[in-house]
Amino acid sequence: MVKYVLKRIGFLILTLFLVASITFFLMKLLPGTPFNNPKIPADQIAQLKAQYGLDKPVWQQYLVYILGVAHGDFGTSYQFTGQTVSYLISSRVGPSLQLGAQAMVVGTLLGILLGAVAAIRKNTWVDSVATIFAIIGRSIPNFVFAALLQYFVAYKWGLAPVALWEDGFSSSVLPTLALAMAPLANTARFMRTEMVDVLSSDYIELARSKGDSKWQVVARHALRNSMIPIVTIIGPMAVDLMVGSMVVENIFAIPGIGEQFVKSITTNDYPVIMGLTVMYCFMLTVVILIVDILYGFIDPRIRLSGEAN
Amino acid sequence: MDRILDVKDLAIDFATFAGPVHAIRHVNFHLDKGETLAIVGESGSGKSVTMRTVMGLLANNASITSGEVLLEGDDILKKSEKEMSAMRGNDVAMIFQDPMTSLDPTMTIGKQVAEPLLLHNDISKKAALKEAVRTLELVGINDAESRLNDYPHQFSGGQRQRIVIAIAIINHPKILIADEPTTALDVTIQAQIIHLLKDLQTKIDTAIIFITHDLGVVAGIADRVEVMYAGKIIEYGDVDEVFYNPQHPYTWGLLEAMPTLETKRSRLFAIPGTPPDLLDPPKGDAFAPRNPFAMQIDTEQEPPFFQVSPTHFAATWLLHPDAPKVDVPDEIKRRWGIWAAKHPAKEAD
Amino acid sequence: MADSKIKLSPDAFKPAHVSADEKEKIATPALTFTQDAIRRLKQNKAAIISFWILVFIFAVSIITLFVSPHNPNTQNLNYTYLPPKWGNLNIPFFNGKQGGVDMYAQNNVPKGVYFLLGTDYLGRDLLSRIFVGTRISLEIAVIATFFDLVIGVGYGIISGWKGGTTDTIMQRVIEIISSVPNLVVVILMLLVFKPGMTSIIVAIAITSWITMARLIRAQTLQLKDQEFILAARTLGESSWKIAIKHLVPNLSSTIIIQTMFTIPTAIFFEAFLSYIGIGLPAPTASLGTLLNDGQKALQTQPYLLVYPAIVIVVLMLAFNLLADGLRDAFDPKSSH
Repeated sequence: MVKYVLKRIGFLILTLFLVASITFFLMKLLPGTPFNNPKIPADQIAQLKAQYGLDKPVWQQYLVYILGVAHGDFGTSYQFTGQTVSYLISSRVGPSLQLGAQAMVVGTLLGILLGAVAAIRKNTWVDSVATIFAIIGRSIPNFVFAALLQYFVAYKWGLAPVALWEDGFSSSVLPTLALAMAPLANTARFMRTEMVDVLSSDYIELARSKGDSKWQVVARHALRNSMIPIVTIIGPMAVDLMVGSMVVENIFAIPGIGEQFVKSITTNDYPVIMGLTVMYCFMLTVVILIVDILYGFIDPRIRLSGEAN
Repeated sequence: MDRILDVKDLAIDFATFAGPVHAIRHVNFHLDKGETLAIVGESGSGKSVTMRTVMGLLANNASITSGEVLLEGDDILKKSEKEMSAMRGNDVAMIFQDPMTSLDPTMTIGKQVAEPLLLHNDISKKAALKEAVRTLELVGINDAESRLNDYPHQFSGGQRQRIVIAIAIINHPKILIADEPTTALDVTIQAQIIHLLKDLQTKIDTAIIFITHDLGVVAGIADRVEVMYAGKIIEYGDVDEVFYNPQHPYTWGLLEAMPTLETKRSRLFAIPGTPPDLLDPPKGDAFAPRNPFAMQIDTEQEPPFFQVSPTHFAATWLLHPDAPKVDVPDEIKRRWGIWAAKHPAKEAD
Repeated sequence: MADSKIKLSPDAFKPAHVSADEKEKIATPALTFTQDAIRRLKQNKAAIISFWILVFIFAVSIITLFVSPHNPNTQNLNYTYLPPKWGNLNIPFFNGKQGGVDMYAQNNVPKGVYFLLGTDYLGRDLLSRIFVGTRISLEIAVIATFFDLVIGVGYGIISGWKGGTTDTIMQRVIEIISSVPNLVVVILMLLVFKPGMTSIIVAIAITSWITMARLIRAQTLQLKDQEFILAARTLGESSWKIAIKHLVPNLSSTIIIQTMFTIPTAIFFEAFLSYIGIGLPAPTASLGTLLNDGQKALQTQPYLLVYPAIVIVVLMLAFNLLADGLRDAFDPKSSH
């Protein structure tokens, strides 16, 4: 087990290194820097380039960058003079994590509920309604959903703050809902198929033949067995949330890393783009690693065979 | 003898896209206290469906079109879902075919074995687990106490089937239905499980319905045998009668297909053809298209049961007094010979 | 029960001649796998309706190449932000009024000129722009999906068929690529290339083949050990001939299903990129740019967001439902 985790962490570091390197060279291929503005005099550009180390040969820049990344230093932002990328990210990661976590919890719980109900009432109107709901959730782009929520719920009906991150929890309600849509739809779909499978399995029939009522079967046997595999879609769900946060934070003007990422793209703030790319990659690989380890703990079949090895 | 189960004129249809499949076509049988009844037939002959009816565990698309299932005189088809839950695992219990898939993979076996006790009795968890240990030992799981917290995948196939049996018998059911309990197991383990079931039957005093497609397994355990084909029972009798004095050509086929130590044939016999499509059951005898001894009447009119002995009946026109004598297969001749030797008086009739 | 007293004519006991063929005959006609799958698909009403909706949308976007209510790119600053108006019909939301004021009269729009879905901030007809936008979005999605399919299927087959070290290396590459959220990769790509249709297509194609490659590899591994492939190998057919002759047909249902899932994803990516402002440059319309424009005027002109939103949702819904239907029909067992 320990060996396995160490191996995975090694691969994680290698992945991060490769991603950081590839991002670096991609950025070097870029047509311009923010200093290509014709209004800035040439000597000032030279000075700026020196300040950011852009006058050195590429391989030197690369070494400096990679060594920096290894220490958590992603350089300085072009856009916000003097601010380090690490500071920028760390000051903005809070709201993003909060939104992401809330959306993950809301999405998974509601998704499990919806999927389970659909599976138990398979081929009835309940199933159809749940399935249609899940498919619609999958088909509405999150930014459209966010914009509609903002217009109707906040602007028209005044039920929640329209934007910004100033009213504590109530500011997070609409963005959380907008973000939770995709995980909800995916979990519901996944849960339904898993549960339909489980409900038709032999051990459920055996449980019924023991005298379990329909609901006892669900509560004691079916739910747990169909919920375990949901752990495996947490990785893709995290991707959805990261991508979703870029637009949702933008629409609701939330000072998170997603909003920052989009802003940096439009202002060509390469150090921040690179830093955030590595950051996203780091978060995703860590989530996947945790999920894999967690899976081994939840599923007795994997847990015990792991111990035996 | 106390009649514990009486199935009368049971007919079941399954709704499918193509139309109703007549899976069970007016089946009658009964079970007496403490006896073992074997129901034999190919897959799809309706034996498992019949048993699921007795358990009240039919699929959603099944509908019972006629008949009654009397458990000690009460028609279970009229019971509410709640009453059925109270009956399942308590009065009637079931052992499933595949032990590899019939245990909940994420629950400890202690909990799984104790579950029926907790469901049907007012008993503490501790006491239930204690009884679970006792029952597991009874079915031959060594060291049961220390294995209560193990999961199914830590047991072998044979052990798992023993656990499934423990679950079934822990409440001392009146009827134990074993649905091909040995099919998925190795031959050596098959014998052990059969032996265990016989042993348990005397210990907990239960009646057993043993479903199988393998006549070879039946000989060692059953008191009576019913042969099913295409949703009907076509021959039934005491185990010796069906084995040594079979009358229906389908039973002959099954017996021929059964390899025994005495058979000298180099090639295994198989009944040609496939069972009929029960969407549209054939007129006459359903077995006629595969029956080498089929007569004109078989394709026109369904044969009634002809009595062979007070306990032995077969539904074949060959038993009609006017029917010609047919040249039965060698294997059946051999069996009839054994029967004649045992029952010289009857041969004289 | 026994009844031996039934009187029967002697003819009844004549042997019935059943030919061997008759014995083996299966009563219902056999269906091939594809026929059976199509039968199942036809029973899925949602999938069939979706299919016809897609046919309709494709037809409309082709027809509107030639006929369009207005020129989608003509700007007319006298006509900015006109609400939807359907001739002289007085239906709420479609009568050209906003807050009770007839915007058409206020802007001195001549009689007979009206915009079914209103106009945007440059006075361009929204309906015409939606037609163009849908066509462009579909074009991007379909072409990107095609490349995605070629890369994904090729990669998957090579990885699964070759096995060994090749497979291990190729799988590691996939793992690394998939450890970065795909849209981040798309965005980086778009930063490197000049924004435009080609770069969006390339960017989407480059990132979305992973799922296809994984599925195809898994299935290739399975098929590789099957008897008909072994038989072909024993007969000395060349490895690549086998791959093309035997493998591809057997992979086709997976490919079709996955393709149907990829198209809506590609539509989403395009819309997303245009929405955050790094997609298609102005004045090209796509569903994403329309949504972006609509979002800017959401509080005053909600229809500018709502109608493109309806189109993109219907489009994605139809693709998803059809894909679901195809998967259930062709692959009834696995549903992930």
